[in-house]
Amino acid sequence: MNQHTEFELLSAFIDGELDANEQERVAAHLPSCAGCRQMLEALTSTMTDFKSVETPQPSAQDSWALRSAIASARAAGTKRGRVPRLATALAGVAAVLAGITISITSLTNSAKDAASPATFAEAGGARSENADYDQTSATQLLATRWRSFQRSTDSAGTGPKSGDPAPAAASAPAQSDLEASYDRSLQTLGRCQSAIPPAGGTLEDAFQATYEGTPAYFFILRVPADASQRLELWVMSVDTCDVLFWAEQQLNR
Amino acid sequence: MSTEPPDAELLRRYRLGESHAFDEIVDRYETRVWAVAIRMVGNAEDARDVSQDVFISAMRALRNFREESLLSTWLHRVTVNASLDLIRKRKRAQARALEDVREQADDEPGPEHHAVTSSRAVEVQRALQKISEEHRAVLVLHDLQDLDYGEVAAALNIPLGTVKSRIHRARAEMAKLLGHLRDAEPMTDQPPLRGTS
Repeated sequence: MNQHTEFELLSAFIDGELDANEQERVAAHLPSCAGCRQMLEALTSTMTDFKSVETPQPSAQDSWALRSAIASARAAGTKRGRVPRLATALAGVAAVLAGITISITSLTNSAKDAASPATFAEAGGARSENADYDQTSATQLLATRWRSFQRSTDSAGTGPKSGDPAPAAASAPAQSDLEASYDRSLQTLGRCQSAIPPAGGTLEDAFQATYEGTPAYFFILRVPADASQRLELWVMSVDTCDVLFWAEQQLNR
Repeated sequence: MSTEPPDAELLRRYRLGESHAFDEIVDRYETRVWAVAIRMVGNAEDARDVSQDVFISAMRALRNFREESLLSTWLHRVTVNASLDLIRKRKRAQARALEDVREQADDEPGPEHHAVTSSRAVEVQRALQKISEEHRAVLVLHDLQDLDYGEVAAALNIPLGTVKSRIHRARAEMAKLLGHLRDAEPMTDQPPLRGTS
């Protein structure tokens, strides 16, 4: 049985790529064939997944880097003027400083008027942080954890030790503490965590804070990925488990 | 409400020496080039390099662009080729890095963040990186960037039939990676559905 061939035929069928006779033949076959209907459903589910993915947008920093490179190339004539990574990094530092300023402002505003859900600490669950993150500071959080991991890996430690002081996070609690806290956690925490697609990883840390003023859970996972591991940061809305932000950082073995 | 000039008009003005026309081309195509690049190479750092390579190449090439193909087709082609070049370069570099696993560069790239709004979007992105580059290119251009088969064939400079067969196979791989399709015997007593060609 060549499932591969049938799938490709069904793929051409939904694109209307078969000739009229074949389109009719496939359409007539489907009502009586559960296997082919399952395959068609798999195909349409896959296409639906594609449609659900929003078009990636370059960040302001990416756009800046592109236009700087073009300007450099113009100035240099025919020489390629790619913006060196140092310049991109310096732009990133400026963005972090701007991000921290924005975060402080957001924290002030959210403290005034946000109806705060029960925190992990109040529920006896995982820790809660009094900090408002944005894209830049969340990225910096992951970078800080990554450096801790790299150092602990180099010194043959058994797990992450407290590294550079993060903007808001303390050193990561032990896995057993996390597991214990999850037993006591709010139902929404488990619901959000279960919404993360499994990738054979380990939960390294979890806490609650706000992301651009929205109460959010922050999950840091260590994921095996082919020849190396990576850290993933998931920021999910407490209310809806919508993914507000996601970042990854490769780890060296 | 002003109407945007067509690509041909921008190209004509650029060929006549109006450099601002090229800036308008960048504004118009930056997101599209970025989207293809990041879907091909899988991370923002490399996508940034690809985007810069594409537009700096365009700055030179479009001065003499003969418009045998559409500007959009040309940009898609250059973006895919630049992405494939970078992927191959990265693979060679990774092969060399495995010889020295203790090496840790000070300029290690930082975290890559992606504008995602759902866990499913992350899964699609992960799965895309697991299929072959040839399958990824047709899938990104047709199913994600909404180019039609002819445009994909023109952008990749491959026959139409090749585009179609690669897309169907790519979808099958993605369906498995996304968990919609398993390697199982179809449950049917009916005669198997077969192509007639």
